[in-house]
Amino acid sequence: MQFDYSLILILMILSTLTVIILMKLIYRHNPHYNEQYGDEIVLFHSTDRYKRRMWRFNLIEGFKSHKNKINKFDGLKLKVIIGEFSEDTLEIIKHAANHKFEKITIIGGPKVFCEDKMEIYTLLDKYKSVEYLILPKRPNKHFMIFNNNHLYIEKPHRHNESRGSVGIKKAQPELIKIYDNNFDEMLKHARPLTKEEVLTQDCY
Amino acid sequence: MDISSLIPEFLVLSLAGSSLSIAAYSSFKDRSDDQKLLLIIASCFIFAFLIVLILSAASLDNLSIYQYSLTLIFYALIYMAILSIIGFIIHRLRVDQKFKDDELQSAIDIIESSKDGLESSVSLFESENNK
Repeated sequence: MQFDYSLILILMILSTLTVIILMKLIYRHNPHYNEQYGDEIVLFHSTDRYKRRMWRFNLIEGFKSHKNKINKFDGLKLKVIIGEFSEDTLEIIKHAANHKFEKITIIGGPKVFCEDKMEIYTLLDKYKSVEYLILPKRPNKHFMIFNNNHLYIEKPHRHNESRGSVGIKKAQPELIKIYDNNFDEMLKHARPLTKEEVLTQDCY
Repeated sequence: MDISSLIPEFLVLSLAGSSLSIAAYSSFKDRSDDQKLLLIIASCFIFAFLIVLILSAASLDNLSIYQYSLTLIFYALIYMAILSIIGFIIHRLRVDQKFKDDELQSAIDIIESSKDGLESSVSLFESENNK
């Protein structure tokens, strides 16, 4: 039996189409999508310190490219509730301040780690966009709201332990609203702290 | 053209392709869609190997009973090995999907538990203030 060239051509076209459909099928389905919560949900285990830091760094850097699309009177905002202003949070805040975030508000518990005091002092001294407030008691629900678009939620944990967390890119507005309202409520009970007061703050 | 002269090359190519794809799959540390694609590439190679194997069997002739029975055993063993690889690929794809679904569920559990306790954390501060 001789090969028919038209048959080979049809086979090649069919194979190409199959590959295209296969690629679309594999990469189309985003398993991290959930319509109730957001477009991209990422789970970080307690050991994924580097991964969760990079995820937030990339998120912050991503705003830079979208900055031109955002109204210039609407500066980038970062709202944070943490147990204590630790080294991990300091890195994120510094990165955000260096990437044109115009308003960064951090609400923390009454204590910090003693060795972080100088670093917090320097941060508050250098970046005027950073506002640090403390609550009378350590909050147990910790989260970050990146410009009312993305969320980073931590599992409740003690001050000396690290647990899992979740990052949500393009979180649903209803979910953002719940966290935003909670942030506003917490803000009413928080007291702003100056850089000098940080040096006399209680510490672990 | 004698197709039987091409069969050994086809066999080697398809088997090498499937082995390379599975080796590439194993080298990925993170579970991702790229891994899934590699498994599908591996299964394409394996199916190609299966077709060439059947073709080689079909082009056999003039065999003695002794040769025929040994060839049959050989083909049966190869067929079993291929089915196992296909089974492994399907199993991996299902396990990967389950892992992703479980991860998403754990993430949703964290969000839900965090969301549920938000109001009580505010009311705690409110009651403290009222005192």
